[in-house]
Amino acid sequence: MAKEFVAEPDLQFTKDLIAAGGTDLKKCYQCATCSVACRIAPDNNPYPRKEMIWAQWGLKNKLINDPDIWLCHQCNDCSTQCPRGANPGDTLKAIRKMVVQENSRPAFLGKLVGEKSMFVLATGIPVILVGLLLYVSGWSFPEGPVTYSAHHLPPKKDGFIFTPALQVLFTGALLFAVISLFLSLKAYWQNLNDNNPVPAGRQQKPFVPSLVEALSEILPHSTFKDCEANNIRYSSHLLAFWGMIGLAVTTGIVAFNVDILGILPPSLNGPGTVPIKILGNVSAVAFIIGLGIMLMRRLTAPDQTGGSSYFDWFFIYTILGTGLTGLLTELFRWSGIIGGTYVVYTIHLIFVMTLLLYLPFSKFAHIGYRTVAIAWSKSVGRNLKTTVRPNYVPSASAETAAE
Amino acid sequence: MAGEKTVLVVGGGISGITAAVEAAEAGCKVILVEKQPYLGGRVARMNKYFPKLCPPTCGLEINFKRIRKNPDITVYTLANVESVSGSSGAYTATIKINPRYVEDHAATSKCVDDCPADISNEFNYGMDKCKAVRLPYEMAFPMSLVADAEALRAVNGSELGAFMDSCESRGIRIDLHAQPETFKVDVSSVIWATGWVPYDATKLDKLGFGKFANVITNVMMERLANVGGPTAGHIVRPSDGKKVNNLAFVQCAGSRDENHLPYCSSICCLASLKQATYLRDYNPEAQAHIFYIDLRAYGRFEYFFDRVRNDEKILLTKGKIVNIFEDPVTKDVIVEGEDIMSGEKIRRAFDMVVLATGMQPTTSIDKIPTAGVEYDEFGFLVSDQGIHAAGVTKRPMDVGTCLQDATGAALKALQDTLGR
Repeated sequence: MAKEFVAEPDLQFTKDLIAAGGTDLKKCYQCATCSVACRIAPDNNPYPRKEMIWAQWGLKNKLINDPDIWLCHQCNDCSTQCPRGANPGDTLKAIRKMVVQENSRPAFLGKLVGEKSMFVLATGIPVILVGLLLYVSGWSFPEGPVTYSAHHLPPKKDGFIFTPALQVLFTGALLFAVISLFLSLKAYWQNLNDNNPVPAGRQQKPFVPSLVEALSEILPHSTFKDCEANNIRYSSHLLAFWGMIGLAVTTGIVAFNVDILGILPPSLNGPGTVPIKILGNVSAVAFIIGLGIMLMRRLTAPDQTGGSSYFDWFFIYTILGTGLTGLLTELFRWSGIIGGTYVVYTIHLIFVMTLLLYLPFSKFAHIGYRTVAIAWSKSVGRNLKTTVRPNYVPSASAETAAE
Repeated sequence: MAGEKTVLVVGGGISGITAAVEAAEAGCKVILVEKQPYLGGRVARMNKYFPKLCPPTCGLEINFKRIRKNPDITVYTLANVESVSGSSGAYTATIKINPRYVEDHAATSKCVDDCPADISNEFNYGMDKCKAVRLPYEMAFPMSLVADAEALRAVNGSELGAFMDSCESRGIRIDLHAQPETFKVDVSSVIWATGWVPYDATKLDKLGFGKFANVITNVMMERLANVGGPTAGHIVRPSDGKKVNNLAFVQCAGSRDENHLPYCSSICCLASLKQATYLRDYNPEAQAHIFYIDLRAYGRFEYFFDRVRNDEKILLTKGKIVNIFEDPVTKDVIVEGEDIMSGEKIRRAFDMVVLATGMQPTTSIDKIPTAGVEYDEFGFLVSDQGIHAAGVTKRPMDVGTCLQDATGAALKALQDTLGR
């Protein structure tokens, strides 16, 4: 410790962490098994041993501005090897939730998404928004084959949902989410810079090259692979991650084609007739398999996945709901159940709205925070490896026990 | 007085011996049952005691003398208690005595040398071999030969016959057909002092014991440093016999760990501090490095800790060793942990590593063959009615505490003999 450090314990923060899933954090007795069990923690100031004592002491400021919690991919090697059952993996997860809440803009939405007692309200808002959309479009199903998009308001209704209203609502939600997340992340980057001194003799790299370096690790999940206890998570997350990217690309291209170029949506051309459709379907299947594995693992092997908190369940509910209702809509349409198609499609819209609206406040936000924190770590070079020192002889003062 | 009442003491280690002589010297008859062919238990295999660093043999000798001159103590070695029934004040115990397979009428250990069969020397924790017909160790009590019948039977017939004839001619009779003997005894009270086993280090799969030659345990280190041990007291590493210059101690190897022994064995820190002095005394150039979670030197042992840590070549680092690897070429052992004070990961090579494994009560493996006794979650005996625990059967403790505890158990046994 180069600088004098005065601890300012925030005991409520410790209680909040315990409530948010870090149930066993007080069992930690600082043996540092976790810091070594973790295969991806850096050699200089590895995590999660230090986070455990900060959590016990309620050192909120340290934890909220600690980039290392996002380097953790929660494979739970630390928790399975912990001699005390203190479950450091669960504590880091709880800290991540607090970071998301702490940086939320507007802050009340962080509480809305993070608190179990707010579930009805949190899920009610997207229902109301989509309900408004239906109201504007007229409640009835259109005649004839499945037609999602209406270009005229009732009584000349020629499809299910009035497209301009849908565009306004969903683009608005997306813009809101992106701007909110962007502001949060900008502040978060600043906090990381302000609270974590760059190691002496090291020059901090600028943001963009650091981000590129971070993405080159995130996109192939190359660090994720090193986990031991819950290694299957690497495959399932990779599937869900690329499935989601595939779906986002599909949605983007289709929206561009339909809205800007005026080309008919591929749903009207039958299954698999255009490459975009193949991309969409393959992505959807990957997405659902990946999430399905994660869900099953959480239900059947909690000793390896770690505990699952409300924050986790809410995100799984939203993202798996989105995927499943999307796929179901397609299946209903193929099987010719027209009414069912519209009903499931409506539910799908509600899930998509939930996902978009709460992107910066739910666990979904990890996509941003993790990227920023990994980029920050790259910018200061937090990845040293200690070499083996044969016949190690310490300097006179360094090694003999302090005091 | 206790008169003709008898106390059964099970386990002939330091606790059992102490309880036996204390009860006998207070006027009881005592039956002392030990499963090994010799008395002394784990203590007989120690090199030195902390904190005085004196050898255990002198303390054992005094106790053996007390046993020898006391006609009220009957010692059965190679014996097990098969069952205990009854209640406080009136127990019946079944004792089974296994044969030694050898009668040494000439009171010599000569025939040991030409024995054709070698067995793993369990007295030295398997670090060397010994003859199948042997004296258990040089100070053994009783000072009698013992034979491993199974190993002898594996020798081919003519060679074995020649060996047995040669023994016979020297007054040593080997009888491979000897049978165990089982009998019942009536006793007033039972003292259970079956002690402990070192926690099985092969269960610590990240620490490489059993995989890497130069990873040993603390009980093995006692033998390695002892003149009667496998290297005659030379602290050299098992892989190549190289003098150890650079030794690491891994504290809490399997202790305070809910995946292994959840409790603290209380003595391993002091044992490692003590063993560090073995190395420093043997090789003044050498350096010992102790990695710990918390160094626990309780009570007056604080002074011992102070004394040891003032040695500048005994290093103490806070941080548990989590992984152990081996350099395949040099056979050096590489330990991995986090130095908590500096917050840096440690990855360092040593000539040899000692795992400070804890004490597991023998009663967690071999329960007392009777009804109505209670154990805690770790297998330590907690009930104290008629069958009294002494020493490590009760909880982990050092030798000095065992002596006090065994004396207390003897007093309780005496009370049972009076029917109070």
